[in-house]
Amino acid sequence: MSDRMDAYYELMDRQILDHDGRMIGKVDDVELEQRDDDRLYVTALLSGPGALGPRFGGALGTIVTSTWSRLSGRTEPARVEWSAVASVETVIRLAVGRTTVALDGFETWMRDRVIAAIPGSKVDPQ
Amino acid sequence: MKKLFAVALGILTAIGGFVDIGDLVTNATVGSRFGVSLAWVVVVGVIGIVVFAEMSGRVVAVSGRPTFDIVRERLGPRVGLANLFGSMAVTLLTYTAEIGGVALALELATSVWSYFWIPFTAAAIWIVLWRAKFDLVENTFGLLGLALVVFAVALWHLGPDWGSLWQTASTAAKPAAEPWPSYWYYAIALFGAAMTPYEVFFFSSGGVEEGWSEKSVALMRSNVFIGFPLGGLLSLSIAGAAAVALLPAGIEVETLSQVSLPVALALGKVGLALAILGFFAATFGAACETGLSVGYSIAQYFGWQWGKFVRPRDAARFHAVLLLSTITAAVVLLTTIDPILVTEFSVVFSAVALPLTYLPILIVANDPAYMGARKNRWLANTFGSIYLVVVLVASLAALPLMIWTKLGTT
Amino acid sequence: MSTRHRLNDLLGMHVRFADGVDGDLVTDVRLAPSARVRGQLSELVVDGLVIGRMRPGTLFGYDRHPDQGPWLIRRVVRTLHRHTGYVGWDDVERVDWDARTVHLRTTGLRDLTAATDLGAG
Repeated sequence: MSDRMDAYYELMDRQILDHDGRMIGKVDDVELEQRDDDRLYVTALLSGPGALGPRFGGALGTIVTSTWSRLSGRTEPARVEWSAVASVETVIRLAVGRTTVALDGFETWMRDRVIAAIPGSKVDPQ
Repeated sequence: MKKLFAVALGILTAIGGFVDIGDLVTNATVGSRFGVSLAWVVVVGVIGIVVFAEMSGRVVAVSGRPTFDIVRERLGPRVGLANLFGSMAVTLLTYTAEIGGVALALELATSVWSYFWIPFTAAAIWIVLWRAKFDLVENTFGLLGLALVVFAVALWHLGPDWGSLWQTASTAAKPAAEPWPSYWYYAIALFGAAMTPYEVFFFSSGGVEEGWSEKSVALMRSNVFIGFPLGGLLSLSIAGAAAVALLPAGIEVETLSQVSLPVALALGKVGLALAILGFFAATFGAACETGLSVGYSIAQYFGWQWGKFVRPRDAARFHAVLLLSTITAAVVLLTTIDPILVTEFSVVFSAVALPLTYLPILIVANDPAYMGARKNRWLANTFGSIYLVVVLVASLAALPLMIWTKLGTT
Repeated sequence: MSTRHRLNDLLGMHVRFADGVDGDLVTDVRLAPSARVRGQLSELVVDGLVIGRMRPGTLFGYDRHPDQGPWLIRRVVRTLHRHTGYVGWDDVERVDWDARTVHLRTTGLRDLTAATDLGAG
């Protein structure tokens, strides 16, 4: 069961946390599917520069989206299926871990190319 | 007993950690030129940061949401992005000033040229941000910062006429030699030094780092309501000591060495050593806070994993930002720009940027979806609304006054 | 046949009433649970549109929660947003995605109330 909500006020721009509480990204946009009954259904959350770029609009939006598209080699932003969402509060909690969701390429690139090279990157703070 | 220890540690750390390079320089400069006639601004600023910090601390304790999450959620992505640029620019500027401050403190301690210390300072700060445990950093530099109490001791030792000090402070009696525009310019600079935006990014993100919950609100409040005002007393001591020792002699503060001069005069070498230790602790601690805050704000805007509570490889972009910021700050300082000048810009721009983060926090502190029963009641809203107006006025007046008085030099 | 859109495409669309009069913009989209469950939650469907002008403070919540404090901000925001209204999905005739216009079957807007209030349409 979920409540009624206003999408821009309560769903967009919220933090998405995976099952373990790790920060995956923001709800940068929401995918709507127009079905035969002519109604629009929420099918997925969209995250990353591919989804955020168009939100800026104008020249900035175009630059962000095209730069991201060129660097990542993708045209569609990262998707989190609605079925993966466990709850919508002031954060969006997923029922799945982050390895199930497509991890943002930028984070992976930065981790593997830059951070992993520095000694101590794997040290557990506890 | 353990709880009492936690309360005491929290308060002491809040006092010692209150002062940063902006407070050191601005309070001493003001004291040496305006005496204690601007003391009221410190009081206004301290009450303001208490109101602001309590609200953002309560928001993060109850909802788990730190400041920049809220900025984007309540202002939208476009205004939020503009806000991010502005806030990051000011925080990075402040980070640069703090690193410069550490280098100046080391120069005072060793008589070795400050610019020599910059690469080592930047590297040391980055290593701390990379490896050291969050609360260890906070507690160590917070407690060492208590050495700045030596300014209060020095003020006492200088045996001032307390009656006339009170008279000047309570009537805001500006010295005749100083023009009114400069007076108001320094009022805003002092206000910006007391109410730095990074403080709130850091405070609320720290709440997540330390795993605050609704039960943490009481402890957070004791730190804020007791620790911050006592820290404000340290600021007033720095201004007071400069007012008593330097103003009559016509010595204007332009270097960190002159900030310590009243202590050296009153208490000799031991006092001076403690003052330098205090400078080092205050600036190093603040450098860690501002450095982290640059990372916190950008990561919280984009939704990246951030924090020292995860392994560095699990917050790769966050740590990359920290590294890049540190290198940028060091490079700027190595152009041999005067760190005092950087500090002066950072406090003014802090005043300009303040409304950006203040407004969203005030709004969310009222939102029952985030706060439940802990949302603002009439007292917090009354103070919050008054300070919203104060913060907006200061923000609008800051740049015109800075340009008109040429950074307070006319 | 189904087509995919993004919520951002709906935001900022112009509204045209049944009598041809141009209205304001879509400032928010109200979602309601549908009968179907996907995963742990029901699937959400677009149930209505919040119409107004894109002025500062759309996301502050004062339109929906008339009692939210502090008083000063509430007064300013509610004055800026006094033209805000709501239209249920049954009053939407069609969405023209290319022209970025929503064509309505009605000639006026309903009052905006909080999403969770019953009887909001």
